Amino acid sequence: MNLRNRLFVISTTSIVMALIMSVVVYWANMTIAKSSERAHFGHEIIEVVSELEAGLRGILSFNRVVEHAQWHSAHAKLSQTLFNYPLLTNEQKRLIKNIQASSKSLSVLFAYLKDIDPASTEKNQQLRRHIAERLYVKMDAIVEHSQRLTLIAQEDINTTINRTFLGIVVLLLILGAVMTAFALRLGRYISESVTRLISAMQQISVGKLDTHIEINGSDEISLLALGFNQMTEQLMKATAAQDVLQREADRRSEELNYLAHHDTLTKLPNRLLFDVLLEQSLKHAKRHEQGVAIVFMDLDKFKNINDCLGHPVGDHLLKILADRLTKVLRNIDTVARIGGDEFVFIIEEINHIKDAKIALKKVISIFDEAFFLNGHAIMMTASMGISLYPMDGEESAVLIKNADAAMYLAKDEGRNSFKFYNHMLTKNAYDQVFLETALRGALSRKEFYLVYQTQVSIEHGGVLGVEVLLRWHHTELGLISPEIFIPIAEANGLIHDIGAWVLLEACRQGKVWLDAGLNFGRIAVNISGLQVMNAEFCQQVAEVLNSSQLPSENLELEMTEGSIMQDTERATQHLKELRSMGVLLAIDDFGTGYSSLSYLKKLPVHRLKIDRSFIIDIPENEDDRVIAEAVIALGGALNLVVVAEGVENEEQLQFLKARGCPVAQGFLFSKPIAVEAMTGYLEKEKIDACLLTE
Amino acid sequence: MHQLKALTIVITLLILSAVFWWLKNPLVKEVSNVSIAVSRTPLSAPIYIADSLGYFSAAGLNVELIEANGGNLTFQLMMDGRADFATSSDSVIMFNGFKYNDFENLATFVQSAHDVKVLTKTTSAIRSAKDLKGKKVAIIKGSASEYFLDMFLALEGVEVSNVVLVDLAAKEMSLALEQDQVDAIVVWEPFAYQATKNLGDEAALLSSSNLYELTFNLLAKKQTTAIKPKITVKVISALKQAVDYINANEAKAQALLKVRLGLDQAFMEWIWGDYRYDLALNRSLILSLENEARWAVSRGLTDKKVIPDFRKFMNPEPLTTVSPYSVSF
Repeated sequence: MNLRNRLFVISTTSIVMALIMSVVVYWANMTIAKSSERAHFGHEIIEVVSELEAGLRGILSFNRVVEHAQWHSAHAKLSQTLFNYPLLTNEQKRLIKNIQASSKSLSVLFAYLKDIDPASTEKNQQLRRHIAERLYVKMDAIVEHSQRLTLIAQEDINTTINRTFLGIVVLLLILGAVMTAFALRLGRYISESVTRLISAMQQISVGKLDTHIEINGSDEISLLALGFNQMTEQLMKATAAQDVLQREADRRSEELNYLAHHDTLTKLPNRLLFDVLLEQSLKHAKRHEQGVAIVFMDLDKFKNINDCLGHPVGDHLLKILADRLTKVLRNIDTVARIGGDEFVFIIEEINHIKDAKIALKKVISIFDEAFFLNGHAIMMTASMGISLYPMDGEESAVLIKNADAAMYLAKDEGRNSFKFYNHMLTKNAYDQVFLETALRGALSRKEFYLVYQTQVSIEHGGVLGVEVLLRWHHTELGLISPEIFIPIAEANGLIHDIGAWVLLEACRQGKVWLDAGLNFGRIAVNISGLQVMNAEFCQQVAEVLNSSQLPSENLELEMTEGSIMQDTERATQHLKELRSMGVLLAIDDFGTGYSSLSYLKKLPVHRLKIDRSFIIDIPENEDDRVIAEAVIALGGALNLVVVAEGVENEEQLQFLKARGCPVAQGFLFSKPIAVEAMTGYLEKEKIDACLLTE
Repeated sequence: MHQLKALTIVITLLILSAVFWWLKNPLVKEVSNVSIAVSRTPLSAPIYIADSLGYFSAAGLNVELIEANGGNLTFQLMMDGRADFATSSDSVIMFNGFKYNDFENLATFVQSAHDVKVLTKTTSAIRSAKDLKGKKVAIIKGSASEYFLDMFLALEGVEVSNVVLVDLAAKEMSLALEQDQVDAIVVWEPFAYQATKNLGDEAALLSSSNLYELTFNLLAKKQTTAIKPKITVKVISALKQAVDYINANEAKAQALLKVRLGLDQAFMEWIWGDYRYDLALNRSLILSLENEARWAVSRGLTDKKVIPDFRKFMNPEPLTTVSPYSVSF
């Protein structure tokens, strides 16, 4: 039976009960009406009897025809009333029978009474009184019976009311019981069904898709359960397909996860995973009060392998290295590759600095053996920096930074070694950071300015050129050496902006002097290797020449041999282009680098500048003398003009003159001076030249 | 779980019902011995019916019926202490009310306006009260018989002194009339019927219905009802049941009575229409008794001059307990 029908049964039962109650009330109403009629009947008889009594009193007093008539009419009325009596119970029948008998007695006795002469003998009067008394007794009996009739009728009314009340109460109780039973059954059924559904759904929610609800019925809840079962079946089918997808997705995400956390080449953890592992091991160390060593390792001159033998060979080397590192370190330690040739290790359970040293020595030992690559046996070295937890920092970021700093120290101090971090490194790094910040704003704050130093002809002392030198005056730090800030500018890329400014400023000044009729020969500008390698550099030079209107033959660009040797091919190409524009080119600080003479020959340069370090100890230092002579000879052989830098005294000048060096530069002629002083110098030179000519 | 609960409820209900039934119907009933002196007449039907149908024993009464011919005799049995209760007519109460004051009426259970009859022979030429002058008339002294004759004569203007009264027992009357020892008899049923039957065609019944309404009542000594109030109520309760039975099942009641009293169907038809069985204790009975008593005094039927207070002879309490509407004072 469905829920609607169940509720329909409940309401139908209520209606049936209500109908039964209505019938009961109707019956009660009818019965009460009948009983009231009977009660009224009793009263009616009593009224008639009172008329009879009045008649009898009249007869006894006056004995007139009027009273006789009254008696007879009242008696007739009594008979009529008794005849009309409504439906009777046995008891009422009995009472009516009594009343009828009394009525008969009344008429018999009255017949005797009326015949007795009231005025006759004493005995007759006695008899008359006796009969009258008997009549009264009979009438009283009638009244008594009538009263009983009334009482019985009233009793009937009360009984009926009580029965009706009881009946209604019983019916209501039955109705209540039936309703309660129905409601409880229904409630229990719904509650149980819903509970089953809920528990089934909970099963589903924890993934038990094979949950099945037993159905026994065809009502709405059973339909719901049926729908539920169908749903779970569909869900199971769908889930099976989804499981395949999910497994695939899991596999892919595992793959991605692996890729995200590992270096594809060496299969070692990458930077991302390393950070996580480091955090874990620091926590572990903190819990167990142990030390941890963080080691930064960078291969020395790995770039050369890539450049000379190609990237595949470099990659192969890295793989071999990764294998060796993995073998040499303990299982609990971690090795990660975080950059091209940068590796980092976490060495756990370090309780003493020598523990770290033992581990590092093992690492260094792997470089004792050559790496066989492409048929070449290559020896490699590495520089390492170590920071220790907790002495050098308690947080991973600090420890990594410190290890990095220590590694750079190792590199600076001649490579193939390891350095432990000390706090001075941090101090230097702080300075570096501070300077870098200051440098970024220096251009806009116009803290840069140029000074100029003359290049003179050793033969006649005339000005052949002016070298432009960059100066930085910081408001707080004062004058800062180019040797300090140029590497910083090169490291962070500011060198391009600064170099451009220098070039433009120099050309503009050159043009000013030209316009003023001052002869300065060439204006020589130092160019960083990074600038030379920049693809847009030639274009930049052309624009500067164009905007400053300085003829290209008045501009000389100086660059160190090191800056060219980084990428000779590209450098050669750029230099050729510059030369074709008419710009003069010079190799600066010649002799300090690793110039290959074959390359030098190919370079489209005009001049070689002998580094000041070779001039300064002339003529005392034998070696320097030999080198200077060799360079001057080389210049002559390659048809290059040689310029000697740092000439500070007459002996040096004489030495150079004797060796045929054509141009010199140095304090002997002029310190680097400001633009105003240089302008004055050139003006004086012009007058001297005029005088000379004249 | 639910079945167990239901079973527990059913068992509890059964136990409760049993306890309730036992309280209402004790297994061991207290049985009281009661004797009733009963007049051997259909007027006493409620007593016989209650006895026959076991209403007395159902009420825990072991009733002994002591039968006698007439209310005077039963009254005497009761007053002598040989019976606890007696059935007697109102005239017996009236006459004895002058002599005793330690008995009381508990209930009227039947009335008849034609129980006492005046019989004579067709051969005697007696057709009315006036014809009885100088004749020998048999009566039962101090009973309804004597009172009725006096009334019967007075109404026709005949002095009782003009009649020769012969005091006989009820059962002697029929023979006396047959053998012409008397000219007329005044007797109640069933003796009137027997006399009529014995006389056959010679029997002549003088018209006298509705002159006197005879009642039959349950009497007891005051000390009996005082000592045994519960038993009194039980007796009246059984009578009430019997009266109701008679009114509801007239044919069955007649059949029972016939067997019990050894009566024939013709007699039952002869008297039944006159009897009205109803349990009551009425104010009109007192008035009637006073009326009869005054008459008895004035006619010299008793040597007392002051009529008794018949209210003192009424005890409505037991009947009120059984049927409150049946008492009208």
